[in-house]
Amino acid sequence: MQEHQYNTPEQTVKKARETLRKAIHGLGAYHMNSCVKCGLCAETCHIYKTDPVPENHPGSKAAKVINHYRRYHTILGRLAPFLVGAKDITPEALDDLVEVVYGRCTACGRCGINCSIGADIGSVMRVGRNILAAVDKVPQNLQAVVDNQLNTGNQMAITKEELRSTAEWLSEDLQLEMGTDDVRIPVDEANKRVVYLVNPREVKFFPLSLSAAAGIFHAAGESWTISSRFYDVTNYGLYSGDNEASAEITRQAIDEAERLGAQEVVLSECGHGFRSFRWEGPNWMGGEYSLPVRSMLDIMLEYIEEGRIKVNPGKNTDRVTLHDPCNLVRYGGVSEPQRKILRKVVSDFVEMTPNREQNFCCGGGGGMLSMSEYGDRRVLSGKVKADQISATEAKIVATPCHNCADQLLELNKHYKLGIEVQAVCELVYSALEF
Amino acid sequence: MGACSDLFTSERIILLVSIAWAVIGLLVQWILARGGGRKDYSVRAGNPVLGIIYNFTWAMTPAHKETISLHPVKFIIGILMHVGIFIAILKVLLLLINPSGAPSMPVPVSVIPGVALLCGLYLFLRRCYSQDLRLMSSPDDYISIMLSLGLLLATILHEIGLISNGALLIYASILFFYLPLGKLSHALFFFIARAEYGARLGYRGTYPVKHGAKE
Repeated sequence: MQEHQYNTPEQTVKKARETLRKAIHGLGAYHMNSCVKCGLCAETCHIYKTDPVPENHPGSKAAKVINHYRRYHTILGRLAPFLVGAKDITPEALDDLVEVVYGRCTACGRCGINCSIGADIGSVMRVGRNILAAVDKVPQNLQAVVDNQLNTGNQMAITKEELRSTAEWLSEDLQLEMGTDDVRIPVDEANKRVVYLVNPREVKFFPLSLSAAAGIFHAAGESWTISSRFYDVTNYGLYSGDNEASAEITRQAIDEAERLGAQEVVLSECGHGFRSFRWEGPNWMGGEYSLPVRSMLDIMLEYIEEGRIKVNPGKNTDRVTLHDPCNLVRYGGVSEPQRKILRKVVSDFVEMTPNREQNFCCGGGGGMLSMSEYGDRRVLSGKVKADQISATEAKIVATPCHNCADQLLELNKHYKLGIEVQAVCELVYSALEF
Repeated sequence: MGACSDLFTSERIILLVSIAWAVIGLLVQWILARGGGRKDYSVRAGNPVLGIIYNFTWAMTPAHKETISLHPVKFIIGILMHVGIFIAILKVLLLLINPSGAPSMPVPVSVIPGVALLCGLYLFLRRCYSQDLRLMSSPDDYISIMLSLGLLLATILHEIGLISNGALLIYASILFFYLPLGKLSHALFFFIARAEYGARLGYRGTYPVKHGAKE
């Protein structure tokens, strides 16, 4: 929110220490105490693999956060800090931490899931982001996205008029495509069964996935709407580390769904959005939601399995592979619906290796796409994903995440992969029989 | 009367105090780390218990853990060192409760501390010579491994009769006094972190994973 400027270094340090204390309980401190710096996690990190310098080693990155924890929360750290590498939190140390936790780590969690001890380094790094967010040290462009979400209700500051206009022309196109005037994108309609949250990038840059979702909802006979006020499935507070902002962004959308009288919130394909709304949101808000939250993937699979939509894999004959978003699969637990769907809607589906919870981050996670200062590193780190894609010889990369899609499009251009990137719902829509 | 006085020698009392210190120190750290704990308000999709079981079993196999599949030798070396330390601690505890001396180890078992010592030496040298490890290490990382190697050495020397029961107990006391202070506290937090992570990913349905990483 960037509204609390600290006037003195002492105030900054005090706030950072308070935030550290609150952030570690029941999670971070366990993992900070368990890392033994064995060094085996090096190659699990896409950033280290593509630029193997000590600063990119996951153990080294985690140590930068853990050293502050040790200083204030362990006996030796208090009495003889040099023995355990404990470091004071100072304004300078906080400045140095910015590059480590935002610029050299996407908090994808791959090192943690492969840790020989079982330390969740992603959670450790998020404690670092919690601290920096509390003292207004989030990189400017990332913070701007959070501010947009808080101030306008969506990350791209799209106006209600623009949303309505986009919904109208997409509806007209859909009516032509599907040959019926009944199909449309309903906005702000009360008492529909489903409120659908979308990524504002769909509204602004990738309308095909929004119209594909609308076509699928129509084909399934679903009762649904989107809100013109709070429809954003993303939550950049997860990336910035600002739990208060995260809670507010979550609350806006959930309250809006309740106000519209929905029975269920369905989340468009978005990795961190799913993790935020499905898993972290209730905890940020401090209580259970009053209505269930599901991914569009679950809904589409349900439609197919219940026969509510008919699909023909013969309509998608190009080879398709699947990129697993870290926050959807590793931290979100959703790995199978997208596979079951793709096996129904395309005729040549191949897995990347490794995949599912062992997938590599595309390089665009953790808010990297918003932080232009780390752009070169982001594209370089995406080489791991580019190589994985090339090995499949796929023509289309499906990914249930617009953030990943943005990065994959850039990797496609940079590494000349010759692929198309599509959301899963776009492939489902292409396979629809209507 | 004689056996009773043997049981309360100064070495044994020091060891008992050090063990109590270690246990209490670790428990206090656990309580502090836990804080108020975390209540999860999200609706669960999986089974946290199955997640914990998975994280302590299959998740530690090469097919499910890249750090093991990429570094099998280093991983086995690490495991061997830890097995040796467990045996050394077991010997110390047997010595503690049996004033007449712990029974000698069977020959196959007595070899393990020696192997573990060599493995530990390798890990120590690796930490000294690997740039990645050296830069992220603090004195505690070296002290912890040296204390562990010292226990293994003391166990071997005791086994071949070169040091007394008292010397082994005193050395073990030093290790236990240090245990809750630095990296050795992972003796407890390994289990806590792995259980927490397993439970969390089990709750979300990520764990247990039913396929190999290379599928």
